[in-house]
Amino acid sequence: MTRLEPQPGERIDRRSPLRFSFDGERVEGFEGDTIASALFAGGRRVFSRSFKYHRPRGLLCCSGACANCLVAVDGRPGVRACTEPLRSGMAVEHLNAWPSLERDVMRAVDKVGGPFTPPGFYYKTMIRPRRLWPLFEWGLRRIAGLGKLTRRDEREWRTSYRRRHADVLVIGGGLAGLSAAVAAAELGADVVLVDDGAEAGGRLLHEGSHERARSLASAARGHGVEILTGASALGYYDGLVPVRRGGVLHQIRARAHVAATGTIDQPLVFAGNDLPGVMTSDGALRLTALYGVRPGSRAVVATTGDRGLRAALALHAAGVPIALVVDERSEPVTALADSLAEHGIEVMTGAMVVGACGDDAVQRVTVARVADRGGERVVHCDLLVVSGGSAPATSLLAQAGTAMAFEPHSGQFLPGETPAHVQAAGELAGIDGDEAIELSGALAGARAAIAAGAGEDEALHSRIAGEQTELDRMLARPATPAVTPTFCGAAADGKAFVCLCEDVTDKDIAYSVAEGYDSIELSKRYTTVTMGPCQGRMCQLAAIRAVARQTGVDAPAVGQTTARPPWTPVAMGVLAGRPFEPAKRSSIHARHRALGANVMWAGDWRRPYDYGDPALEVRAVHDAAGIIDLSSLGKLLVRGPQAGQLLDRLYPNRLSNLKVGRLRYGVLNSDAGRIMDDGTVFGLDEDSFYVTTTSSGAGAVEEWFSWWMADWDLDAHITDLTQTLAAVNVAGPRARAILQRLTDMDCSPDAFGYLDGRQAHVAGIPALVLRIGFVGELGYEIHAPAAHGQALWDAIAQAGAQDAIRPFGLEAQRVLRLQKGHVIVGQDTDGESNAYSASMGWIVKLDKEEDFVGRWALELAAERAHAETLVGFRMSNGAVPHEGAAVVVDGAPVGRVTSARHSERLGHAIGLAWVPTALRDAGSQIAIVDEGRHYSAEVVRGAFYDPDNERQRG
Amino acid sequence: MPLARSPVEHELVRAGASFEVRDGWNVATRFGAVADEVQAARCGVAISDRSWLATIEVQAAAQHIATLAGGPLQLGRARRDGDGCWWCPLTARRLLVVAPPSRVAALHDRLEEAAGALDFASVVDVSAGMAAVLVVGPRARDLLATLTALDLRAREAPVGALLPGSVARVPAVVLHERDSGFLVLFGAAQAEYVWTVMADAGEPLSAVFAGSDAIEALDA
Repeated sequence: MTRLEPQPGERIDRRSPLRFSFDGERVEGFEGDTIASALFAGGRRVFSRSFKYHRPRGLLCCSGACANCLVAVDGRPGVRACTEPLRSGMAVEHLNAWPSLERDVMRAVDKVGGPFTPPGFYYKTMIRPRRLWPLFEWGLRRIAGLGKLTRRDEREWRTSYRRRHADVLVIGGGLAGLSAAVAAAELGADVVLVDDGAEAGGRLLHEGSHERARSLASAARGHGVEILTGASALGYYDGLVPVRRGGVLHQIRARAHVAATGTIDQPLVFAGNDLPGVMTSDGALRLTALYGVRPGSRAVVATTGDRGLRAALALHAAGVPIALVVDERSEPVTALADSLAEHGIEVMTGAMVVGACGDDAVQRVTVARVADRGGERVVHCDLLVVSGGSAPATSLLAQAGTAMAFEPHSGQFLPGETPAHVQAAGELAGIDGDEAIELSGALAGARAAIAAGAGEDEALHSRIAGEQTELDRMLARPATPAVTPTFCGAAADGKAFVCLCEDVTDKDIAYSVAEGYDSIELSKRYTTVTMGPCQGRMCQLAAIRAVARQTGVDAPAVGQTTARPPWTPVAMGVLAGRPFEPAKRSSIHARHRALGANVMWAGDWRRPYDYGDPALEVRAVHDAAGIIDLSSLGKLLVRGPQAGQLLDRLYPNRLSNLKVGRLRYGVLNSDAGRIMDDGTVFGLDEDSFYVTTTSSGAGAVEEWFSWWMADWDLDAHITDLTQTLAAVNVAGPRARAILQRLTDMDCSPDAFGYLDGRQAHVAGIPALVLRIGFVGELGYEIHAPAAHGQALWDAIAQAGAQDAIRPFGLEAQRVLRLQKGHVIVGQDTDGESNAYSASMGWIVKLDKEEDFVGRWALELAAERAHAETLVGFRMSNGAVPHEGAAVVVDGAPVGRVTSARHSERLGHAIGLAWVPTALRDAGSQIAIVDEGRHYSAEVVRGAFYDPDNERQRG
Repeated sequence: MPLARSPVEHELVRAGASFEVRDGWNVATRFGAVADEVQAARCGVAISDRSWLATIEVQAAAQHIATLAGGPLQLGRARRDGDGCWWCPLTARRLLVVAPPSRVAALHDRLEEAAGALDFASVVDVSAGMAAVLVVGPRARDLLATLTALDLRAREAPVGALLPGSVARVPAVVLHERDSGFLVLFGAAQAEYVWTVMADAGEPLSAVFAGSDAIEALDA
């Protein structure tokens, strides 16, 4: 039986069986099991295949640190079986092996592929012959990676964000973390504690102190601490700590932080150290204590310190026969050795494991003396428990800006001075012994609470000082010095893995150093050591030691790799959150949908591209009437005694003299004289102007206005009415008649001329009507409160029904405006365009008295010839070049097409293009190359259609 | 004049809302049993469209804002007057007044008159440009926590707190309007998007849509 008798403090409920499947086969576990514990209890020993060599891998850490048990659950890959709680009915599948986990054809890479896959092989091989690259790529894509994501439409996984503010965030729910949380909460702080285990408590849970752990967690909850279990902190971003818990990304912003992330039990490096059956001491204890699972039927324990001895005793107590304990220390220095002896457990001191062998799992272990490699013994076993010391989990603390320093006594990289508002507590801070760990946590919690602004007073400071003295006294006790594991050298027939995630062996590190990648950072980049899913938890220390061995320097000189987020692998979907894209829609949008509009993105707006037939829409505007929704236009109300002065300083033309009721076109320039945006300005009254901008430019223009207004300190106010007002353009020869049916205002040409504007009621709705048009026909823009936008649209559609009015979309508008040669800022212009090069020099009034933004640059531009000019062109044949097609001279690209469409009304293709200024005159011939095809076109100046604007002004 | 319509009216229709005309607006009054909506607002979380609320933007010199508001205002805090209007200082020189539509005409006239007596002040009705959604109930914070990084904890944002920021990735102002009730104000053009996102965020919390009748019942 793999299940042990019920263990004190175990997490499983043996009365609640759960059924699930692994690779299609039914498996049974218990409520409280993880997938891995249930599978292990069911007899499974191989959980995955390794990344590169496809070697069988079994449970190692049982804490979510390593990548040995990655599986897919219900189609979702990358799940750590050892921490994922078991649910009834879940479908678990292996990753990275074909045709099965037991028989994986890619294992051939391990058997015969070594010479072809040295470190950095992807930089060296499969480069030639180039024509075979598609084949290599196909093969690599099938082999690489850790599982396949199912198709999006087959996935049902909700991911979302949750933001949480707190006074104190405690990361790590072990003894130190829980103590910190309680201490901070007792001082009135709002505390969140996150822990990646299924239950807070850390080591206490599997080292016989589960009652203490549960009591502390209960006390924390009683003080209002929010405890998030199964929650992994991903990184530290200036106080923001993203925490993944299931499909939710908790974005926790706290005023102070306590890092109590503990230490990570380190594996040992020897030949065959990756075989299933090799397990860290913590991993074996977790299986035993939390899930009542017998990790092996006969165990060898190899250790460099007391942690392994404690594990041997605990496993023995749980009923796991211990064949041998191998302690690298020459003499056991603790009472634990005596206890082992009392239990009849043989301890071999000054010895180490030199190799583990077996067919897809540990069957025997070879041990030898450290000093001379002599005294070799072969011990048969199916479990090899290893404890190669502990590494403080410093990554998050390092990301927070803490420098680490090597502490020779403990052999650990420990945190130095932490930034303000960040405390380190417990084993992470190099503190040993439960009493000291608990006190260090309480101190860190109290300090964090104070840093967060909770409960500071004289008595508290005095208490903290006293507790610190007590902690210092505890830490002054002599601790057992750490032993650095001895590397025995890989056997000829066995790989000794430094990094299990990436299948990096000790030989690979030696290889990288020999090739000149002789620092830990370079070796990391070359071999990818520490870059796998464990993010260095299980391999950084071993990699440092390996580099140290190869370079002949000591570990502190080698140093650590840079800690970067995410500290724990996270699915992209969790980072992305819910799949919604912010979009603006006009108040008429529902009507567009009802009319069958094809909707497209236009900046951050959703707008109708067409209503099914853009050509028909163009004809309607030319021959009768069309209506288009222009609500996305930027609309600013500029008011104040100095509003006109503000506009004069912002635009290159005169606007302060704009008469009330009149409109004027304007182009906004940057201080470098480049075109930023364009639009119209309407005189509402002496001190008020209504400014329109492009749809995409509204936000930037509002900011631009506000920025300059603040700088100049003018008496003017800006109100952004972009979303307040809906706007429609009624255009076409019947536009006047249609409008007249809806308003009492006199719409005759004499009463309401071109570039006039009137405030009037249209269909009973208060509106601003502007006689202007972008599409080259008689037209009216009607601006009205957005809440009435749809009513306005419907009224116009109804009033125009007898004239066969049609809605038209962006595509028709683009054809119509192109026929008039109207420029779209941002499409026909770019960040280098100025008014002169864009053939709009007429709008710049350099004789204007008022200085204006970009004047100096435009004066220079006016004096100097510009290399390129924006011109219209007519294609010689019927082809319509793509926007972006090259204008060429003698085969060299010298310009580009910015807009091109076929004009049914004109009977040929037209467009706008940037051409060398020498070619700007009407009649010049230009050559266009578009996707390898060559065309010729003739330059046209001015409008293609109705060049005298008779229809527009009619 | 035709009825004024909420920018999310078609979403409300899809959700089964019943409408009534109130002060010129087509207002969603209920989605089903009002009692259920009230229950959700009291025990869970309810989402209610309040886009018919009038909003008036006032701009003036900092020292004049207090004059126009009838008293000093503190940034980050909104003040409710006896007419049910919320005076919301967005900056030292910009104020938003959120008012029941029945009050807006008189309020606008009063502000215009007061502004006329000052050197220079602007009073602009921007009602149609602002959408408003009330998220109310003990789980309102949980719903909003999925959409905004604003700190809405009771200790940090008591009733009356006014927090400009980003909600569902769009610019918004959150007003803690009542106990566990947050009025989220944002651009009307983004209303459909925000409503969709809020409804989605409410799903795991079993949020319900509430009409104005339910909110009035809460007020009663």
